[in-house]
Amino acid sequence: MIEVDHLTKYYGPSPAVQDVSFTVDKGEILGFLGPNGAGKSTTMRIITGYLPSSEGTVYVDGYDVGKQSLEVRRHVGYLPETVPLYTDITPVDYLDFMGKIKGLSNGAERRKRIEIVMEQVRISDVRHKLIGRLSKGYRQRVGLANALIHNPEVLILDEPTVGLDPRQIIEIRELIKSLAAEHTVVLSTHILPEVSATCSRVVIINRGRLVALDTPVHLTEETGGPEHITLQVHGPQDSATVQAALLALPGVQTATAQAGTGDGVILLDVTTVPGANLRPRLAQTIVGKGWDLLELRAISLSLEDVFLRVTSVEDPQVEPETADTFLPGEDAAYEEELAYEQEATLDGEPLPVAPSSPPRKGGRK
Amino acid sequence: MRNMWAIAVKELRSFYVSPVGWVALAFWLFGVGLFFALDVVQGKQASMQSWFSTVEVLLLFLGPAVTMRLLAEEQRTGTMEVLMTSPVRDWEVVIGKYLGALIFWASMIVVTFVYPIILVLVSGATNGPDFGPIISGYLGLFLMGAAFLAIGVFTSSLSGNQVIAYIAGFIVLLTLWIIGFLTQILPAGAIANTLTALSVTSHFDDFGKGVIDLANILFYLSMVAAALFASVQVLELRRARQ
Repeated sequence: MIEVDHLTKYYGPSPAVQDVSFTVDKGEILGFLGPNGAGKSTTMRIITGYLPSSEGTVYVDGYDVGKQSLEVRRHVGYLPETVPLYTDITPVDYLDFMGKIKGLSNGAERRKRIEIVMEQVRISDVRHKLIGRLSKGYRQRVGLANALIHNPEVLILDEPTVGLDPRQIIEIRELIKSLAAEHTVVLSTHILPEVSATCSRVVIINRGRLVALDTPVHLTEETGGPEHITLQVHGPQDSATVQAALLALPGVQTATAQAGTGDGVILLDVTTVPGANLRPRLAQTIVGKGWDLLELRAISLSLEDVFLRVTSVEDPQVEPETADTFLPGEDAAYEEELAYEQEATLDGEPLPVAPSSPPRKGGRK
Repeated sequence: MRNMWAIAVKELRSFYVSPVGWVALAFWLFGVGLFFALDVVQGKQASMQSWFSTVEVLLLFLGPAVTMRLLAEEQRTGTMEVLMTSPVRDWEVVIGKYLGALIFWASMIVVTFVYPIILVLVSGATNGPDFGPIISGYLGLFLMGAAFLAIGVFTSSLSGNQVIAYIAGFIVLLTLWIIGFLTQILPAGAIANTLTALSVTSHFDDFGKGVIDLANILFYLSMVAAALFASVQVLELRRARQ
């Protein structure tokens, strides 16, 4: 449905997008992931025909974006990042106007379509309010309604959930998922759970270059590296005994003791060779020794880890302005965590995806 | 064509819901009313010739006020991006918006049709006004306004800031205006003739006298075409340079 081939875009002498190629199949939801300023919006603007590319080609539904821009625009619905809307008219009038210029010339059909779309994005209750008076969530949905009004094959959504409250985010995600049945969707985001939650495939882009392209599941598995397992054991006097017992198992790479909770409970982080799946063996060993196994949990590498890895591999020296706006998370603690990681990167150290890092992402989904 | 019309209608609506539209209309009605009262009281003639030549000054201020929003606002808020990723051509956007402003301008002119009616009522049927110069005067006024609005659309394309669009438009129009005065000071010759040819006022004077000259009509129309063409080019350039 969408073919992006060796796309390059220069702003002045500096490239914003460099040699990016990927395809999106019909009915797919492709997540476009990257830090701020990575080139997500630029790529999307080129796909929609708003910006000309410097090099490379983009085809949408067989039409060349550079040469058959109008045809492409008939097949694409676009929600820009800032959700620009006219503020002095009502959603109904807005959609009526946009419907007209998007080729819904038959008045009765257009009104019918407006009703369907307003129902779909749930803005029927504010139909006669001025857009300027609507809340951010409603505006977002009016913007989405505009993208949908001409029932395009392709939807390009630039950060569709930015600035929404958690409930609205879930609603919009559900809506986007439901749209995938009839539309091909490309959505950009820098919120990682969004990708795991909605997308069938992910493109990760950093500093204008494509750094990864796969399904969320594959990405977390393949770039996962060693498996992390966390254990809580009760029984032995000191952790060294447990460590020794576990390290004796084939496939265990490290067994690090963490500060215990007191009352004789020992916390351990174990890393194993990739794909070993040692959890049953670990459990057997501990129970076999007569100790109590209180907890045993595999910590899967989340998409966040993958993302931090692939976006830092090429250039560990993250620029400060990128770091400042890096990945605004959905809660403060999460942001602090990221800030900590950014500091580590700025110091020139490798990112803490190594065994020494405390288990942190496993439970967050 | 259909797109253009949809955009024109939307713009026209905006004039009537925005405060700027109403302020412009109020300013216009106050100005034309004042000039009409002064002209009739002073001149004691059932003629609108002097009214036309004074009213054109109002246009200098009003033209850019009407058009300043058209392209600047959409570029500032980013709605231009939505418009330009819809299946409309750039020139359809520019001409559509221009048409909206032009229709608004026409409505402003239509309101002043009460003045010739008042002239007829006051002076009676026998020594009433000569309608020839009034009709040609109105045609000239409409054409001059059309040219001013086109220049306003052009300056509105240059910036995302309405104030800059207004000031730039005013300066361009003022320059074209001053040229007309220069021709009266300068000695007759090639320079004066060239300036007269370029002056927006000298082309208007004939209309007020009841003369409809094709050259004058073409002057204003070519000004419209040039300004709108330049606006389309500017929009494309600004987008490519983003």
